Amino acid sequence: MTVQDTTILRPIPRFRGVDHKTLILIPPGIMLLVFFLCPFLIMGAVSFYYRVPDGFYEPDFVLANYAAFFDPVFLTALARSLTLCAVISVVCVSLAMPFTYLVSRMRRGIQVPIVILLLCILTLSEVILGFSWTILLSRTAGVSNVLVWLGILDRPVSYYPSRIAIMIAMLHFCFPFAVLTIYPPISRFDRSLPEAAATLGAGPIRAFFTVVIPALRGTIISALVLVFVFALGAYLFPQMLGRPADWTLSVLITDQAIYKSNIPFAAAMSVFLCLICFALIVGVGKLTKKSEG
Amino acid sequence: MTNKQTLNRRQFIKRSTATGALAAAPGLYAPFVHAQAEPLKIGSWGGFFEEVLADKLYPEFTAATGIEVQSIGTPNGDAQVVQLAQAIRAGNVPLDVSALIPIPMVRATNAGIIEELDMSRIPNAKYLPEVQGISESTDGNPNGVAWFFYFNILVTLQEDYPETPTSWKELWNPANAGLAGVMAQPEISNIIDITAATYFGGPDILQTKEGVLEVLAKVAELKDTVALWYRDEAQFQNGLETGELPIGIYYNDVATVAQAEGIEIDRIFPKEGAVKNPAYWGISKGTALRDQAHEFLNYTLDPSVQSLLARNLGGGPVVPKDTTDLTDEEWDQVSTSKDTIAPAYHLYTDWGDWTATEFSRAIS
Repeated sequence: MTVQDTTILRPIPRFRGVDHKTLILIPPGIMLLVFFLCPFLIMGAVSFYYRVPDGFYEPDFVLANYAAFFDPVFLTALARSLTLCAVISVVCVSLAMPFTYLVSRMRRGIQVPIVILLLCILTLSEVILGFSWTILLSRTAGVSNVLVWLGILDRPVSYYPSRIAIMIAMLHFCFPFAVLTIYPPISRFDRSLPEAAATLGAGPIRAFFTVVIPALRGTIISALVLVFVFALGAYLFPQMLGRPADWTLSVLITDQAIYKSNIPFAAAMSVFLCLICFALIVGVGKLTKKSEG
Repeated sequence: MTNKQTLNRRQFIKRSTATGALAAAPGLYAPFVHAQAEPLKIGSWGGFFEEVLADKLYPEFTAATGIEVQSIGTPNGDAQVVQLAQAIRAGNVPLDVSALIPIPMVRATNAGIIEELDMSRIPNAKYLPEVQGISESTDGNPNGVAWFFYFNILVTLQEDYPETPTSWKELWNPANAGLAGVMAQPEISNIIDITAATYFGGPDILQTKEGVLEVLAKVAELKDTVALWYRDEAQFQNGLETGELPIGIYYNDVATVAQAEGIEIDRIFPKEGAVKNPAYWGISKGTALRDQAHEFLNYTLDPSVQSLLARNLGGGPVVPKDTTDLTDEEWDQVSTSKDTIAPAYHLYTDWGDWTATEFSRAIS
């Protein structure tokens, strides 16, 4: 081996016209195929299997699992899930945008602890957050006792199960994700733009809404989609903090898969949920392109 | 469930042929039949149950009969049946004997993985009650014996209910709005059976789907009082401990443990009846240790063993009280002399999917 061989980087050879950039995509491509596409295809196949009433399933091609989904119980749960997640993603990103913008303008010594705090929330599991909120919102130990002490309430009350309780816990859970998605583009954001707005007479709030927000439209939309999809998978919060009338489709899917062993039906509902998610993401993507064009 | 210890069939045939030849020699049969090559593999639900059985029951059994036992933890519910059925269909018998609650027992029976029993080899079965004592195969022959009963009862916190309620109707009492905890799955809470017994004079109404819908309309009224439809006992136990959920449906054995831990609750066997469910032993189809398995079943039905199980597991004995040496106090901890509710299992097996959807509709 000569010295030259080890010290001089030779250009990566091209294989039959494929350049190295494409080659780099192969490992993640295989990962996606093995860990995402294959399970999804298996789920898709199982959703057409025949459900044997005694708790098993057999390979077959039946549409009964999809037909069963068109029952008001499940359609309502679907509508409820989509509405809940849409509201959560809008509220979450609306809070995260100004928060991140303000944090990004702070001194580095303050920024870092705030980001670490947010990362700390991410280390807590859904179970721990759920149990914490059941205590905070409870009648016996929750915040209402403070309100009684302050003389605002006559006697302590329980704030869960309720839709608001689910929303609060889900916001707590999703907020760090929204901030961490928005943080890099906002910290790279060209400061001269709001400064130019200021020289033209716009106050900080007006500059934020008329200059910063429109310039970061792409970031906002990706944060919205990310939080929406993330919230759609939440299972524990609706289950722990809501009544059956608040249970999302994820809860019903889990019930079917785990407690009823109805894997084909659970798969059919999951496929449906995935398709709706996919359609929404594609739709939002198209709308953004149109508005940008 | 592990396959590591699974019986190698060929090996077994060799050994059992040898054992069988020796056993055929007159006067030698008893010790040689029991000098088995492989231990009897008994599956019970992993965790508390499996630990107690491995610790208290199996050593006594081995001492009494010379039959070695290997204790194996299993999941509960459908996963248990699915795993067992897959192994047996693949030609393995991972367990010789399994503990099965009624719905998994029906599913295992329908899947054809449970052996029919030779009742002449289980003389202690004479103690079993007529109702819920024996499980039947699809042909109507015995294929399982109950070895303990477990009860769904009403529990209340003494502090909030100084006057102990006596009826399931307390769950519907508007004064309890937002205070009750009930299991989320109808086949686990048996709330449909409870409602039928409390408001419709018994289980007859559950024979038709129209009748079930009528009962479910009454179940739907629980929406106001039930704050938590729980999937995990810990969720309800937490509610009891904090006083957040001072009333609800709970298992008698778990409630007894909660009392021992210092939570001041009343365990109530309501006047309409607590729900009584049997836990069965089933023998796997294709087991090579059929004789030993039968002997084990017979052993666990012995009144003295039933007392041991009651004291250590907290389950209700399947034999009459006077055959055991349990005191009145001990008996009342684990069982009841009052009438009980036997669940209408067809709701959760034959009509399972329909019931699940209609139940979701009722409570949401």
